[in-house]
Amino acid sequence: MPHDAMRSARALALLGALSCFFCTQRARAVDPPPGASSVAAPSDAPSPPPSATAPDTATPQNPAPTGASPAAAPDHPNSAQAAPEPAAPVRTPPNDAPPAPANDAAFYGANAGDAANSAPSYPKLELSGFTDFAFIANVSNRHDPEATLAYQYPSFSIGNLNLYLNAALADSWHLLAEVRFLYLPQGSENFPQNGGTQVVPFDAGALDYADDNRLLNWGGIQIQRVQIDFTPHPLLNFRFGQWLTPVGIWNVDHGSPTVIGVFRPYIIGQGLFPERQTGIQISGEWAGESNQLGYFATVSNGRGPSDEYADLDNNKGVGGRIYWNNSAYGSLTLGVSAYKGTYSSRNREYGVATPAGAAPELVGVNPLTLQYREQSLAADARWEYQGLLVQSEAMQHEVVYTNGFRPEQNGTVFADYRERGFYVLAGYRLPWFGIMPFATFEDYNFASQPFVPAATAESVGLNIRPEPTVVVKLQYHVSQVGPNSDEPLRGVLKRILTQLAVAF
Amino acid sequence: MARAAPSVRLQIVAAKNSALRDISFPDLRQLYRGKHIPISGLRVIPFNHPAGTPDRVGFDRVVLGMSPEEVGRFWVDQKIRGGDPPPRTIDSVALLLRVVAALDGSIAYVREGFLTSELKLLTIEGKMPSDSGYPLVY
Repeated sequence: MPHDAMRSARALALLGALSCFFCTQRARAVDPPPGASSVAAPSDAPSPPPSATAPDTATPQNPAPTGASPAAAPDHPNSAQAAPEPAAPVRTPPNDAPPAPANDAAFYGANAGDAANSAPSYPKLELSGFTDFAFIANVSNRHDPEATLAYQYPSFSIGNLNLYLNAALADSWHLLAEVRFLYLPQGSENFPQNGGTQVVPFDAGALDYADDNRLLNWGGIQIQRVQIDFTPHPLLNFRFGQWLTPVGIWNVDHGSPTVIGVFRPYIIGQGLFPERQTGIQISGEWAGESNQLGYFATVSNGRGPSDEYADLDNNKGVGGRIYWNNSAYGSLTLGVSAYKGTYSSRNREYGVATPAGAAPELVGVNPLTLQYREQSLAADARWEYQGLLVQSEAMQHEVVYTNGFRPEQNGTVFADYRERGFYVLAGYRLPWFGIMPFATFEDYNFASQPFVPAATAESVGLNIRPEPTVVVKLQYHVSQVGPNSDEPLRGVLKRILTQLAVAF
Repeated sequence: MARAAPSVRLQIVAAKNSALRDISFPDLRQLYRGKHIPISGLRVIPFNHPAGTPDRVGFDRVVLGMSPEEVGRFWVDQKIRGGDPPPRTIDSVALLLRVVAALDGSIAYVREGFLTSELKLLTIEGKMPSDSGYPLVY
């Protein structure tokens, strides 16, 4: 083990041991993100050996030793006066601190360092996540077709239940995995792919052998990301695995507690950029007095039917993002992003080839069924000044199909297209109860959908965040889907959207 | 006529034998936003006061430019976006000082008068707490 790492391990062991002296005297400090600071081990420090690790919180199993020497320094001088945040009471313990050890050997014994370094260590896994509960009602005019096409009956729902698994693997190494638990595919109603108008909801019912063969509706899981980070320097972070594409604001900031409205805008969810990719991402950030510059560069499988683990062509998807942040007047961030790749879908077929003079052998062929080249561009801006928030994202996505491999739907052959759109959001966080009135406007040309005209949408709402981890949203949202066009899907969709989103 | 409350000066401390001598204000802000910044070849580990204590509130206002509520939202949002974790909190100044004294590369902030023989004071962009223009004042 390098010398520095040995010293750090010993110091962390000392930190753990010192913590023990206060275990029974002090309640756990609650920082705004529960479990994030005082509970979690610092990710930038090596894990102490289990034998020397002290609990982060007070427990009856770890009593404080008696006879500690008087403190060398007093406790928080004004801790009794202050509690604007939900901090645990900070009491001044009697005889606060133990005497400082002369050295590690004096504290732990002659072989302390060897024992600490040879003891097995294992990264501590930290769980967190978010979930949301919604009530959505379609309040479109009764005679408008939109009243029957989506959210026809007011419904309660659990939208997201996302679990994060975090672990500081070692110095400079970090793992983050995010999994979403779904009720889907039960009851899902996909659009008809090959003609016809009847859509039968997916039936995921199964007889549960563990419960006397009663009916069970099973759900699914979606792996949102699995990323392994190696950060040798602030200007150079390597991210391996499946990651959210670094584009704009709300593709990465996708958790419902961080999104201001109930839904993300059209352009974020329509796949103008791949939402996530599997490959390698390199990023870095430079920080000056009031300016920050950052970059991302990505190479991945690109998009495909199973791009999480297979690239069905020899063209890797490449992309990048650069951003600039200025904190002279609040926080202003401007960024641009780009992506270029090839989507390929293939069947898998097997055959037998008989080379001259040889026995027949099995061969595989992968006939192409669908292919297009795509190019995406985006720009984003976000300004936070005191309680004010203004943000906007604009995106464009060009698709050029390979002739002979265009998709067809209901007898219609798809043309190349260029879809684009943008949204603008403005809100102001009031000083009372975390209330933010907000308004949004968005525009999207739906060029990728053959029967859907361009649409605009407006909404007003309240985002109420009484606690950092609790968000209540009330929103009135009106989508105008080409009301004057001749496309079959048109009309005005009016919805009342409400959501309770929490982080845990 | 109301008398203005006296201002509080916070000082950045590190272990006495640490190679750290000075820290820039942007680096300080980055460190307390959870970024990993090497300074003087050292991996710097910042430690924080508990949320809600006066010095924590003052430090967050001066260094991060955020109110306690904004700080709370910031760290929750960071968590959800999979960003950097916050600096570890230690809820006793005495323990905080002992940890900093023992852990090379660690830093913390305390009021004047809390410096012990095991610690040394870091300047911020060359400025001592007594100098005019010293930034950690609230």
